[in-house]
Amino acid sequence: MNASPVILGVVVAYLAVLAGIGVWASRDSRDVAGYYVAGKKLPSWVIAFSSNATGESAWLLLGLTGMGYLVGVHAFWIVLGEVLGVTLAWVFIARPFKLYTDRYDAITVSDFLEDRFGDRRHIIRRLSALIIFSMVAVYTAAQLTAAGKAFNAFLGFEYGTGVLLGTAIVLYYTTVGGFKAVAYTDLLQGVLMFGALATLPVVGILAAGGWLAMLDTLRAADPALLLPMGSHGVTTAGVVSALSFAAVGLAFLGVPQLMVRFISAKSVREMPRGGLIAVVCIIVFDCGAVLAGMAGRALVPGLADAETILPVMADTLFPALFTGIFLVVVLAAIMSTADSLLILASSAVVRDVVQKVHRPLMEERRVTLYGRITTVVVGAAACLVALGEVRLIFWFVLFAWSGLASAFVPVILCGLFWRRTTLAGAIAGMAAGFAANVTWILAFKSSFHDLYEMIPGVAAGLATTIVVSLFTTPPAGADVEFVAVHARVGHPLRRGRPQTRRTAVAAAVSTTMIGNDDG
Amino acid sequence: MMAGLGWTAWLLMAASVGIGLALVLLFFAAHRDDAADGDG
Repeated sequence: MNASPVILGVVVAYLAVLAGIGVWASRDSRDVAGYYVAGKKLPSWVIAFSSNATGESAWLLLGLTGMGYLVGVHAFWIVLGEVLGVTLAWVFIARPFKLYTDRYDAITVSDFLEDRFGDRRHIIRRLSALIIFSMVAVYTAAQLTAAGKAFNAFLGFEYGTGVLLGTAIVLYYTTVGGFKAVAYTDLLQGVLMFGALATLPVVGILAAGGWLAMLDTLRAADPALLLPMGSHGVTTAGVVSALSFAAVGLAFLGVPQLMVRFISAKSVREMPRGGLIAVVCIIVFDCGAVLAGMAGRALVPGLADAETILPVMADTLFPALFTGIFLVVVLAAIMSTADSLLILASSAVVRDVVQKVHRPLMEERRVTLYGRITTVVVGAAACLVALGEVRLIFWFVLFAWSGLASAFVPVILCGLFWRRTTLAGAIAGMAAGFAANVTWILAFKSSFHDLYEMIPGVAAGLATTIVVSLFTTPPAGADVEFVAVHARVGHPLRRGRPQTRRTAVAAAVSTTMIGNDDG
Repeated sequence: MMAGLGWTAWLLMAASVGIGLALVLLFFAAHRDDAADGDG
């Protein structure tokens, strides 16, 4: 495909808007909290779109449409898992997490973990920084690889030129505008993804002759495309496949790049509206991707690479202007994930290790400068990896996604909902979850019908956190904080006046004074 | 068979959309007035 002036014009306009957002946000990113969490001033709709656009990378547009193409209705297990993951995160996790992080004046997930578990020696901070840094490097490289491929597929650019162009624009607005630029570009990118994934399946299904005609075509091609358990049927392999698909959504319960969105919210009161927007958005994202893939299978059977179905549909079903818009949407999905990962890696190094462990008295401006430099260094390193490695995009994405989830989901869940969790339990759980994730891939996965590594990773992390915590002592004061936070949160699904800060603390103190040690 | 798909396929698709939507609507209904009550 060669670049038409119309498509090029759309892409240039989009990149210019991103750069403009970077400049606009720059005045609010001069101190550490500004650079890493936009000064905790973001409204519900920004964090909702930003968290979904960050969680859903190029994998959504290329990988999930490809999955709909390959396995049909069976791919709805992924939709089920992701919608549930996003819902549970907003309904149950967002408010207590936001209240805790505000109490601790935390701006990263590591800040929260260190204060929640009373880690004076910074062990959990160092461990989480190490895991974040290693996973983010892989994950970002995969996104930049996808950028190179997208520029190549839509515009005919050299792969390397596409990678360099994608890296340059993301680095520009991320370093200049910090988290505020990342969040607002995510908003724009999320809206673009929403529009594309609401439109593409409708146009695709109509082009395939309507709903019933599309299903008839798919049934004639392969009846298993219309079965929930796919070609496996109700067998061990089928159940494992469905579970693995659904498990993709587990990561929404604790990966740091999404949790930091809750920290950056203006207040805990943003969560109900944010949750509603986020859930509707993820439903449209995921259902749209799978249904578009199914329509694509009916329209263009026999593609050598199922993950090219979106560019193929954009090219065949829409005029050039819309083809340009679809390229922009793919780039949006890539960039909205890559920018968030870069700023997360930067915060893991500069905030979590340099500032909090080695140089607590360093000037804010200097910390922010180091943050920008680190963002550029990580981006450049990921770019080099992407230039040298052009395969396995989605393998890398799913590996990094599950690595982060296995390390963080168990400790976040236990830290928020089990007051008896100890520092030793959290450190052991984080290490065990991550180790189990990697070990599963290397030694066991192929023997267990390719069960997705996130399941054993999160299970091992949870079990280890609980067992080790039962044999060690919780940090002093954690009980009071726990009761105070949960008194203010109230029941997530029942109407009722939440307690104010003063009454919540009084409730916490009285609870601990009467010797509530039942965990 | 309803509208071209078996009931199990419809069940999976309905669950994918319905459970999350129902939960978040309950959550929204329960807490949309928090702004007037709490202290942030």
